[in-house]
Amino acid sequence: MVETASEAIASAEQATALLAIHNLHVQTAEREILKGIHLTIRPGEIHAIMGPNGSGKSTLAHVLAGNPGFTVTVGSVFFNGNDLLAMAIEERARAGLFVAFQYPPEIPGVNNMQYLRTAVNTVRKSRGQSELSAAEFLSRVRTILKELGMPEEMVRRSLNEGFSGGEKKKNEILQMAMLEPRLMVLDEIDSGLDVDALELVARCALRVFEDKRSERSLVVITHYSRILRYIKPQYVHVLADGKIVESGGIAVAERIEEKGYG
Amino acid sequence: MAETPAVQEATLELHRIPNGAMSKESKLLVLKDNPHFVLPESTQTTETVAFQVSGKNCAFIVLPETAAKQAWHLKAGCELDCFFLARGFTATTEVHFTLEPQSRLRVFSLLEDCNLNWQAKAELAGEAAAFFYGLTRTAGNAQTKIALVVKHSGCGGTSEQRFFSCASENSAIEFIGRIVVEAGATGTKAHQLHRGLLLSPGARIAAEPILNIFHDDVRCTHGATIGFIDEMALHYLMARGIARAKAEAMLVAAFAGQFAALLPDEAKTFYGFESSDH
Repeated sequence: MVETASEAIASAEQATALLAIHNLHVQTAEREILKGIHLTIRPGEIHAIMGPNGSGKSTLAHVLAGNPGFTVTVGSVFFNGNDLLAMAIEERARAGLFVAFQYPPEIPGVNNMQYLRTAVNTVRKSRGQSELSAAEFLSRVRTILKELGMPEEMVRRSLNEGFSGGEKKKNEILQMAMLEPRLMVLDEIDSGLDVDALELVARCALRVFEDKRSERSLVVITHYSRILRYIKPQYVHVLADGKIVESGGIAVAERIEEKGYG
Repeated sequence: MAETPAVQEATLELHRIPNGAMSKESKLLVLKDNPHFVLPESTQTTETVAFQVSGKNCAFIVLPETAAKQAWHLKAGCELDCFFLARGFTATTEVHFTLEPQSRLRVFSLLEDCNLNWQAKAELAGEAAAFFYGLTRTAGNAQTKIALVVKHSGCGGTSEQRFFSCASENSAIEFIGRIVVEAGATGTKAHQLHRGLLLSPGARIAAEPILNIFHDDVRCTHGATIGFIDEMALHYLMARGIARAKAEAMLVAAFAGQFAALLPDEAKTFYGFESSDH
């Protein structure tokens, strides 16, 4: 079987990258949204994916998280050398992928604290780590709550129920920090946040990344460059009509901030 | 044949009126070692057992050990909490409440895996208040029907119906909730909410809200939802590493938890829910 140059590159990237996306095409029931995405993310890197509304940014996050509402028609996604698209939703999380949802759902009756402890200990167990005791779990939660400026009362409530937009985003980061993932994908984490909350969220996400920089990667999906003042990416990609049309350094974000996507 | 429970004298004031005759009895049966677990003295299942209640009381009623037909009369100023529990039996049971002005009734019902026709009716005179909360869970081929009528016949009454139905396999639940506001019942507030959760394609839930309003100056609302497990919520939990089966169990427990959250602590124990302390 003859391997094309493109496939050879993809194969090499799969071996070394934390995330290797090759020629990804995705559709919903109505239409094709992603039309051939190529993206490679290595440990220690911070990437920003920018683009106007409807360009496919959030679709990419949904596909990574395994949302069944999206169908991959062509292409591959490898996470830490494993075929991500073949993995069940929960297996992706256990393997170290965390996608912060743009619109976290409200789940009445599921206690935030109990849910988080279940998730954390499930993930730890799957990684061969010991479960956190109640005291250790609470201690870690309290530290992160303080870091995010969240009152402890919020983790005693139902999951996201009645939370403001900003509180939901903080709760996403709380979960991310507790789950200690390798790849963190923040899907429009900046929407719904005021200036102060944005800084707290961004600094906490950056702190989690820096804690194990050699192992972790961070992807920030956003419309605006303001979050990039705190989380400075080495790579900025512009998505338009389902394709990455430009990649570069922080200068790309600065130009978008100044001149828009036009 | 169910074993007759060990008894002790009750401390609650509850007056029994058998067969409509006015004979006052204060002795009640209480399950030993559980002072919250109160049964009326009669365990007959055919006749109507009528109770007249005053002061603050609560009654824990396990069907079908108590009478299939019950009539409760709440005197002015009375506050009564009734907790009905039925698990896995076939019957028709009726309960009828009449409320004098300034009385307050709360009825909780947990019906599980029953072929049951549970009929309840509350008639409110004036500024009385009646609250009905229920959780019905069925599996297999069980069929449970709940028919509830709340009738406001005086001014300023308040009522609420909040029912949760959860059906799995090939079981069925039917909820018929009727609110009647009679002419002249100014200022009545009546609300009804039903939520249904289907756990399998073969399960069925039907909710029928009926409002008979014969007066203008009232506030009445109703709402009903029926659906399968929220796929978005399920996806969210799984995206945090929780297995599908566990995530589904959490969401089903959360659904039941909406009923549990309405319960006083002593009733949580009675129904087998964890106390809020845990």
